[in-house]
Amino acid sequence: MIVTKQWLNEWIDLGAIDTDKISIALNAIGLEVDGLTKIRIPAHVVVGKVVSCEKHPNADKLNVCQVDVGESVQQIVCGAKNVAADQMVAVALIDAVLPGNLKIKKAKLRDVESCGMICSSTELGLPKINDGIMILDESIGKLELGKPLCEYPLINDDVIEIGLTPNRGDCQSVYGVARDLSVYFDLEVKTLGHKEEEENQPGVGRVLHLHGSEALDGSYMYKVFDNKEIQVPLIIQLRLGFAEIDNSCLLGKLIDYSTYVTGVLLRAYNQSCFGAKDEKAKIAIAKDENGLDAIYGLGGQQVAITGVAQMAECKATALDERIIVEANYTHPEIIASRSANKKLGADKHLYRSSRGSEPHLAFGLNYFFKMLLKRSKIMPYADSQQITQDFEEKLINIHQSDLTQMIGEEIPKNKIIKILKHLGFGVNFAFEQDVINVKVPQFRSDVLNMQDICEEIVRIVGIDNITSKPYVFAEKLKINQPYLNFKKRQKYRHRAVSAGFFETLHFVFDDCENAKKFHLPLLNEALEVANPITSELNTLRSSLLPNILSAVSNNLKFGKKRVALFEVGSVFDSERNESKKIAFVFSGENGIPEIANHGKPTEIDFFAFASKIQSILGNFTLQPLKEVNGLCSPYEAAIVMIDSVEAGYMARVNVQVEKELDLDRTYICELDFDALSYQRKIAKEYSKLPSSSRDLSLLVDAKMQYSELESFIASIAPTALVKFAVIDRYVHESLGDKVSLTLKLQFQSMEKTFEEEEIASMVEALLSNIQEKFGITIR
Amino acid sequence: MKGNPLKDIENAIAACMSLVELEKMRVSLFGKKGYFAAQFEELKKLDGDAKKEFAQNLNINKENFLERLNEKKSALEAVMIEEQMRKSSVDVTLFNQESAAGALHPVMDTMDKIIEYFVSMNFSIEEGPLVEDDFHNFEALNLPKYHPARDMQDTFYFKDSMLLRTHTSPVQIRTMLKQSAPIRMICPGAVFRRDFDITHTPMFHQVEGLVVDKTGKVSFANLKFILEDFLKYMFGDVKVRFRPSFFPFTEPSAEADISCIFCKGEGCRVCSHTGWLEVLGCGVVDPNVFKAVGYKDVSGYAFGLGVERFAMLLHQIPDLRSLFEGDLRLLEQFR
Repeated sequence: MIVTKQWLNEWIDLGAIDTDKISIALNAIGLEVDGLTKIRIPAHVVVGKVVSCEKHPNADKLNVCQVDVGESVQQIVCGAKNVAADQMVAVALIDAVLPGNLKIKKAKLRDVESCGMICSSTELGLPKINDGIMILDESIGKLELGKPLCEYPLINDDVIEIGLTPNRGDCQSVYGVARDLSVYFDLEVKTLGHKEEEENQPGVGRVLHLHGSEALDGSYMYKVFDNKEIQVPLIIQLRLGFAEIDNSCLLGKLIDYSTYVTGVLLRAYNQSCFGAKDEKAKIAIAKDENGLDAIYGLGGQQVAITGVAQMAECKATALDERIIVEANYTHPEIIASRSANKKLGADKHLYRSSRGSEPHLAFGLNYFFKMLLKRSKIMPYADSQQITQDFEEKLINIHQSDLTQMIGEEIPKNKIIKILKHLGFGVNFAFEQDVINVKVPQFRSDVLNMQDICEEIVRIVGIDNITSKPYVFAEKLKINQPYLNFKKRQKYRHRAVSAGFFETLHFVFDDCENAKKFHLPLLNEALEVANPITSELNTLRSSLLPNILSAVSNNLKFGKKRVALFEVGSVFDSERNESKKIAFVFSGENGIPEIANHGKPTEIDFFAFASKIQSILGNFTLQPLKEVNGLCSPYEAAIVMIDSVEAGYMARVNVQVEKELDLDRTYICELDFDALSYQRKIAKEYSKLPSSSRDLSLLVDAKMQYSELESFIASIAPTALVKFAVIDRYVHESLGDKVSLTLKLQFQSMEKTFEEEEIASMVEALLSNIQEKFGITIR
Repeated sequence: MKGNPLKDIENAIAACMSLVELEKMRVSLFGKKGYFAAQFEELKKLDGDAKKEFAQNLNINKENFLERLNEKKSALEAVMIEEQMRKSSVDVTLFNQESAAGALHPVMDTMDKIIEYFVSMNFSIEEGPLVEDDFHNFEALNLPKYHPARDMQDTFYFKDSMLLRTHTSPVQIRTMLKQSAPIRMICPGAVFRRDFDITHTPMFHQVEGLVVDKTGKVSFANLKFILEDFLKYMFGDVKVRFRPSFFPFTEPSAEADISCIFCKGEGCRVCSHTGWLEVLGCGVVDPNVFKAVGYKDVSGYAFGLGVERFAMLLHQIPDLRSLFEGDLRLLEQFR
């Protein structure tokens, strides 16, 4: 909702109040100021009159004008199509500096001297109102030749943009904003004044017949006028510009303007929709198939749906001879509920009608006619015809003590009463009792209960004037599963960061095609997103990896050589069940180029990646992953087992995918977040004696999986063998189809330090078992 | 005993330049064929007082030379260690500033900070599903179908009429249905609106708070108190202002602003020259919400904030969308 200070001033006398104070007041009462623009016409721009206007001798599109600017007549070359003699115009004289730092200087245009510029509205920083120069009229004040335009307060206005909340239908008009503001400043709201004399005019009954069926929801009021010529004064054109209301029809502009000012929904109909020329117009109002009130014309043709739409052919224009003007009001809830999700060709009325328009119909109609009679040549018919619904009065009883509890401090009763009265509420009370009876005015359809009344009190008192007080409560243990989840997430995220990974955040959406391409679980068609925002985000992700991989790809494009990203987030299975996963991606160089590696860090490989993941997860084991999705290379893929439970997988990215995404050698890992451990550790008894280790190199079949050997050793190992691991794998052609594995064996006892011979005999025993089982030799 | 030969020995020890030389010196003094061995041979030749005096002097000298030798050894060792350290001296300015560490995402990090505040104030953390139904996301929150306030929230729907939650508020409803008053909870999490431009992303994060207690226990003044404290915890020494506003699930409702942290309230581009930054919405819980969950004789307050907004303000991140792009040029700055 856009208003201006001068516009508000037509309804409340803001005279001396500074616009910044008005802005503070609007914010304080809940009408949030989103923007404030102070329009000031630059100096040396004055009122002028085009004395003569002749074609430029050397240019088709230019005119040479003699313009009277009070003290002198200046020759000005003007390119606007609409310039003509006798027009009152805004003239930027030599030395004027227009917005955009446009300096006006004496110039020669195709050999003709030009001493100034005739301005359009936009050249002066005003809204666009037409395609040519701005033609002045006295709606902005008395026009005196040579008078600077910066001395006309009506066009040097402060434009205030208000972000209205959807409950405040009553503030969708300049009048409504002024009415609310008046309470803050304790000002009287001005009335419309006398109705124009209509006594000598024929009555509206001679030209209009109104018939409403029973059971209507809306109230209606009609007036009719015969039209000769409609004019829209400059100030109205400019204000429609400020309010960003666009209507090419002159009559439409005035209708829109009246609705914008008063909040009353107005429509203008061409009389021919309701009857032949010079016949009585017959208007019928009845329910349509959706239960909305609708207006019917000639031959039972539906011409409008109240509060929702109007047929284009029936809209009156400034060229029509007889015009019917309708004001209507329906309770916003009826309009909102019955028009929802229906294709009714709704126009801008619906926004207003579904949030609450002004119910005082005569106010809107009278404002329109008063404005019309001021400048246009029309003949209105006397009086009006109407259909009125009974307004069901809303009564709310409030207790002062309830308000005190809700607000947290006591607002004096007389203050409560004063505020409510000023806001237009009816108030009844007995001083000795706690109860206040409040009658809600019809224009406040949003006020339904005591809490709403409380809000009215709070916003006028000012929230900043309420003293903050601590809430007193009994402490309680608040550690629950979500808290533990939070701590666990924090633990693993911090560890991932220490391991060199960057946390990322992606939308939970993905492209269906991605999921298909990578053989990832697809969301069941019947459960799909119905209204995706783009095709790249048309389904829910079943894996965190595609989004992260595309981020990796982008980072590599920007010149990164090493990209390590991780994310913890929700994914969805084909039945749309949500679960949390953690995913890691590492691409490119394993380390930064530095002196230690002579500037040539090695590329990441499977084991380097796995050990990074291990520094984050703690203990896990890997098993070969047989069936891989489209993201993985089948040759470097493993199931990650945590505490003997399958937690997810890690793998190299399929080289085909690496190619498509322009990735360097890239490894991925995705795990169920629930599978990660967050248990307290139990300390075991440990030996205080030194341990000894022996290295053992075995020639084994190159095709043999180490886990076979590993589990065999584990099964036969003496308790003193506390640890063993492969520390080297040597491949050489001299070894044929064998490889050499070097194991480090670590021996330790609780009771004693082993002698050299004891260790030798344990190694010997192990070795002979291994040889017997696998037929392999020591190297 | 004459002083001269002894003085020579002392000088010779002092002149040793290495541990090897010193060892040679030790052997020449204390070895089987060394000086003292010879002297003890001499001793055998003496008798009586002369022998006694000779022996006494010999022992003193022996002690003396041993001490000299050890002193010299320590000194030579110290020099060697010094030399060893000197050899591995480094130019510390060669240090490579490029870190191998990663970083938390600024939004998630900000969310952690917010959670930590409320946990310290004895709030519980609650969670809820991202895929919600109309009842929990709208209906129970006093947003009946066709309510114009639903326009505020452009919703992602699924083909089976479920939806992606448009705010974290449905977790209020779920928590109230599961527990009973008093409730002090926050719900951090992702929310979704069908909007994608410079200032909107289809997913963002909120932290929602709810306090419910017996009628009369929780007031608007309490809400103001905790939010003022919270905003000072987050943003430091700022002024906090409340403006009446509208949310369907609270009444009275308000929006909280802080004085602009960039211009200290003077007015700048970030605060649209108002001197204030809008940071959160809050209010007293609407009775229709309590009715929807079957609560009676209770009062409460609720608040909600956008985590991205907080993170952008705290870290001066200009572009919302950049937060969802995994772009290291941004993320590396948070190491």
